[in-house]
Amino acid sequence: MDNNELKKERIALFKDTIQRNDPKRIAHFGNLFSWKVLDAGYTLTEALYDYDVMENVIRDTASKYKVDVIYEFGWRNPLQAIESLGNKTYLIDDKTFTLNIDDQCLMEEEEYDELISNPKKYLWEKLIPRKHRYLKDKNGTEAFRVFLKKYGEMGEYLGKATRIMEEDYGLASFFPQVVAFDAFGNGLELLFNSLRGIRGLSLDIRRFPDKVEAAIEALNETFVKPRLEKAKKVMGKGSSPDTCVDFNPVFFSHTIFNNKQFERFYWPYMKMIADYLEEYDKLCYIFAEGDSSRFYEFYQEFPKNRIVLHVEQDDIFEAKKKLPNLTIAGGMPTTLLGKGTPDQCVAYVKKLIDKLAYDKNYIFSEDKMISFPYDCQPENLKAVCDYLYAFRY
Amino acid sequence: MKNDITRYPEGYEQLKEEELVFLPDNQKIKDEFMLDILQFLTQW
Repeated sequence: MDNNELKKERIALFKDTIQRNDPKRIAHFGNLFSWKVLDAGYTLTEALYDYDVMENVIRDTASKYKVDVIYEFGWRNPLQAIESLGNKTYLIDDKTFTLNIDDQCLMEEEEYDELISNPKKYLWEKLIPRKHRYLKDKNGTEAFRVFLKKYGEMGEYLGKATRIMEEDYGLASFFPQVVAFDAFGNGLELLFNSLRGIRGLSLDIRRFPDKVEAAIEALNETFVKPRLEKAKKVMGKGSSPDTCVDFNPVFFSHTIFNNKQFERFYWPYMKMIADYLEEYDKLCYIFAEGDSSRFYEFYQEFPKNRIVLHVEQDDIFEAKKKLPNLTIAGGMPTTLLGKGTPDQCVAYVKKLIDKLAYDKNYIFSEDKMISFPYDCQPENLKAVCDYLYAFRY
Repeated sequence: MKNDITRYPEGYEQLKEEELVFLPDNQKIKDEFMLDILQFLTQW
């Protein structure tokens, strides 16, 4: 089988699993983040500031581990682009192999009305210059040119890395780039991750929920709805033949909500996406950080055979029982990959297969984004990948 | 400030019209690109 056939087989594997169309084996979503840099013998500084090094990292990972998708291939930490504008949010420590990102609370609580009345104006005039301070300089135009160059280089690298994964290793691309930014780009996640921060938004939803709700709507009108309309027009109906899924939202902010707040602040967005998936015959992979088991009554309303839920800290066996409408993904504990033996890890894979894949409707993955040295031992990941790749239903 | 590109819509439109020379001369494409930039800079 050549790499193009292998890529197509891997894409079909994801689709067949989600749509319950008799897949022949279990797809492996490689949830491999910055750990792979260390595993390839580089520091974070070396990899994040040199796309040739990051390419070597991807080649190293693709050569060693038989995963079906390498989800993160250099897009997660776009330091070269943002630091060209003076943004120093990311703090790298190569000695401990850690990358920390400040909880960002660059929007003041009294600025909600400005954001709501004109999101583009507020973001461009207030928020963005606070993060990317060179834009405010008298040579702001020149700073923007430098940024555009770096942004372009990032785009070129990501395109090249995608081609390398597909053509040289037969790996599958995960989702179409036309909706790429929507992964984290809905109004609520922008408020949570980029504007008000965890603490700020946690307080805001209690002190002035109406303004939070209006801000989410204004941001969604600005960013989500135009892209959704574009996706409808450009991609039409039916799942893309070139990618495993069509849409890949990542949920972070749900972790601060109780059910009532979730229903008010998050569910309208999720329902909009669910309706799109159903109307346009699309497939979706949700990564839900933390524990979202208290929201299963909402998830039970999602359409059947269209959505994967990757659980991070939920009891995955309970999720499987309570969400028969969804494909469950995840389950391989990073604690075991980091501290166990290859035999222990393979034994756990067998347990996951036994408990979760009895109906051929399960996608294997590491529960958390593998990021730190102690998240995984190479020999454990290799043993897991080899066993899983050889397994047939 | 005369050359303050962080003014909206003046600075935003100026960059869109004068700096995106690598894009086709198509208003819709330029609008979408600047929206991507706006979100990228907000997000990251």
